Amino acid sequence: MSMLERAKLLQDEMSRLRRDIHAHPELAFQEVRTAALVAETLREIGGIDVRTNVGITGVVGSIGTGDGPTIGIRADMDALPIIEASGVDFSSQTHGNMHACGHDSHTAILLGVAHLLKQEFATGKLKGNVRFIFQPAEEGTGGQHQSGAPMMIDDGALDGVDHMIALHVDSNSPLGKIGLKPGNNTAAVDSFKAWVTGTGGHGAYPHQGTDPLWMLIPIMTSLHSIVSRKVNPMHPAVVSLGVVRGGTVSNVIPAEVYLEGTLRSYDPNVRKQLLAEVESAIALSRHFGGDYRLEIEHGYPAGYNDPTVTSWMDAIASEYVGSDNIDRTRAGMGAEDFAYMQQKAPGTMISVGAAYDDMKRGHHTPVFAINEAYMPLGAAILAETARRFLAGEIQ
Amino acid sequence: MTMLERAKTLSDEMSRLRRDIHEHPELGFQEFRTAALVADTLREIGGIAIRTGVGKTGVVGDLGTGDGPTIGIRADMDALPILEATGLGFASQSAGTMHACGHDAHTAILLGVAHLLKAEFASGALNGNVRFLFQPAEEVGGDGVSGAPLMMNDGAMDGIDHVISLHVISEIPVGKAGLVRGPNTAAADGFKGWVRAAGGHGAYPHMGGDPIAMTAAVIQALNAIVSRKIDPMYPAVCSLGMVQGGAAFNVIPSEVMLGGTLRSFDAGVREQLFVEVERAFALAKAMGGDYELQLIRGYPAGINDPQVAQWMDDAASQFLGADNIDRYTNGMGGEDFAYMQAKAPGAMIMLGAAVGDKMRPHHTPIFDIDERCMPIGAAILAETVRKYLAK
Repeated sequence: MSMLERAKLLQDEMSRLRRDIHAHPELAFQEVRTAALVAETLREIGGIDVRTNVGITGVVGSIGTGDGPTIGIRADMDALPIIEASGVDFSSQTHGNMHACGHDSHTAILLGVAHLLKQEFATGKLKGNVRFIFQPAEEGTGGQHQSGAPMMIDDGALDGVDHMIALHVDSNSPLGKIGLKPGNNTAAVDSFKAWVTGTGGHGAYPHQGTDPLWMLIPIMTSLHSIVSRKVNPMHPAVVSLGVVRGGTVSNVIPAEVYLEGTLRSYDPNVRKQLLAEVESAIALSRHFGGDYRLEIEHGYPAGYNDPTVTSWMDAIASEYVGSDNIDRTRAGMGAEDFAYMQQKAPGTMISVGAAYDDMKRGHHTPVFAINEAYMPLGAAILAETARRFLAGEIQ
Repeated sequence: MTMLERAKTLSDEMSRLRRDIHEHPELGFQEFRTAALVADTLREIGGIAIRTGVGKTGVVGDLGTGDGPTIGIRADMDALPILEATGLGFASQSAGTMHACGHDAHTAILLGVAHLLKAEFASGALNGNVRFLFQPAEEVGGDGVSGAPLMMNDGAMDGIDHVISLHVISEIPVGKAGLVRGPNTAAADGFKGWVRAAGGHGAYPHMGGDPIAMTAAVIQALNAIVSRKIDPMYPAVCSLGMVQGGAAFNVIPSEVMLGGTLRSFDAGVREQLFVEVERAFALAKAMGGDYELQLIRGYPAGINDPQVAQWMDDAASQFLGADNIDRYTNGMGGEDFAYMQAKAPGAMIMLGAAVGDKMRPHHTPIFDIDERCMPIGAAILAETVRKYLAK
C-alpha cells in the first residue's frame, strides 16, 4: 500500500480528533485541553517520547533510532477569537473562540502522521529520528513576549533537528490542489503604533492651536507613498494602516491622533527601510508644529522554503495529485511564525487545498470551514517525506 | 582555440567598427551610414545573404546550410539626441547626436559574431542557420513603431526558432554579466493627461474652478496606485515625469498637463495600471473639472525563455566563470527586443562594460564603455549559436 492509501485508512481517526479539537478551541498559550489530547494520543500510539509544556503549552514527540538525521514536523494548535458561524455540527462549544484557520486539522494530521511513521519505524527500514512539534500560539503572542515557534525553539524543541516540514490548509483552493513554492513564501511582518500630537483647541479657532488631524493628511499621504515611491519595485512590500482614531466631538480639535499599521516585506533591507520611512512620515508632524511618538513591534521574519526540501515534497505531492495540480509560484504577503523554525533548520511549508463548498469561506472569518478529505493527503505527504529522508532515499 | 580566444583576435576589428559607428551616430530610422557599413562588412565576410531596408533602415544577414533550425541574433544600431561630452578621440562628429547606450558596440559585436560563425560554418560542423538582425530605432518608444516590430512586419523573424541578444551595461564591471530567467525587461507604457477647469483670477478662486488643486488630488491618487491597488507580489511603477500648468502667479490656469510612465511585467497588472490611471484623472470630474487622457502603449515585457537563458548561461559561465553571472537582478527598464522574444523564445544577456571606477551612466553625455567587453560578448553569442547548431 502506498503511504496515501495507508493515510486514507486513518481518515475517520483524524476526523474524530479534528472535530474534538474544533469543538473545544483554545486561544494562544491556552491550548491546555488540546495539548493533553495530543500527548494522550501520542502515548496511545506508543514508542514516542513525549515532552509537554514546551514553549508554555507546546508538546514535542520524538520517535526514532537515536542515531542518524532528524526531521521535524510542525503543527500549530491555537484558535482565534471569532464567534463561529460555519454551521458545522461540531461547531465551537466555547462561544467567542473558533478554529477559523484550520489549526485543528493541522494537529489532527500530525497525529495521523505519528501513526504512519510509528508503523514505518516498526519495519526497521528507517534510520534516524522524527520530531513531532505541536506548537501553541501561531496567531499571536497571547500576552507573552513572543509567539509559539520561537518560544518552543527557546525550550530546545528544534535542537538537533536537521530539516523542518509543515503544511497549511487553504480553504480557498479546491481539494487536490497544492501550493509549494521554493524560496520566500511568507512575508516578514512588523507593526507600528503612532501618536501624533498637537495642542488641539476649539474647532472655531484652529489658528490658535496646532491640529493633529490636519497633520494626519500629509502623514497618511506619505505613508501610502512609501511603497510606490521609496521601495525598489522588484521587492514586494506593503504598508497598510489598520487604525486611525482621534477626537470625541465635532467642535473640539483633539490634541492627539492615534494610528496603527502593518508592514510586510521579504528582503531584510526592505524591512529596515520600511521602518525608517514610517518614522520619516510620522515625523512630518514636527514640520507642522506638532510632535509624535512611535512604537515599533517586530513580528515574524520572512519564511523561506528551502529549495532542496521543497523539491522532496514536490516529488511526493506530484505522485499523489499530479504535477499539474501543484502551484509553484504563488506567494503572498501573509506571515507565519514557522519562519522562525525555517531559520533554525532548512525547511518547507506547503499549502493544501481543502475548499468546503462553493461558498467563499476565507481564513479568519466566522464561516471558515474545510473539507476533511484533505487530511489523508496532507498526512501522506508529510509522512512520506520523513520516510524517504530517513530511508536515505533523498538527501 | 576557444571561441573567446578567437574572438579576442577580432578585438581590433570590432574596436575599429565600433569607433567608426560611434563617431557617426544616427538617430532612429536614420541609420543610413551605419546600415551601409554593416552591409559592406557582411559582404566582405562573404557567404551571407544580405537584405537591406528591412524595417526602414534595418539589415538582415542570413548564413547557414538551409535545412535545420534557425537562430536569430539581434543588435540595435540607433543613437540618442544627446550632446557628447566624453572627450574621446572618436567622439561624435554629429553635434547633438551620441551613442550613449552602447548600440555602437552591439553592432560591432554582431559583426564580430558574423566573422566567428562564418569560420564555424566553413568547418562543416554546423547544421542549420543563423540570422543576423541589425535593428534600427530601439530608443524611439511607442507600441509597434520602433525598430523591432517594423523589422518583424518585413519578415525579419520569419522562420526563426530562437533569438538571442546582448546589452552592454556601463554599471557592471568587465568580466561580469547579468542573465535572469523569466521577466527581464518591463512593459513600458505611458500617459499624458490634461486636468481642466474654468481657471480665473487668483484672488477669486471661488468664482472659477482650479485645475491645480484638482491636480494635487490626482497626483496623490497616482502615487497610491502601486502601494494600494497592485498586488505587491507583482512589480509595478507609476511615475510622473511632467507636471506643467500656468503662466502667471495671480492667474489660476484652466489646464494642467501631466505626463508619466507605467512599468510592469504581468499582462494583467499592465491593463490594471491603465484603468487606475484613468480613475485617478477622473477625480477632476468629481471636483467639478474635467480631464483628457492619452494612454500610450509601449514595449511589452521582455521575458527571457528559461531554456535559451540556460544555453547562454552555459556559454557565459565557460568564459567568465559561473560565479560572475548575476542571475537575479532585473529592473523596470524597457527594451523593444521584447517583441522578438514574444515571437520566438529568446534571451538577452547583460554584459559588464564599466570603464574603471567612474560612473558613466547610460543616456548621459559622459556614457562610455570598456571595449574589452566586446570579444567577451561576441564569444558568448557565437558559442551559444555554435552549440545550438552543432551536429
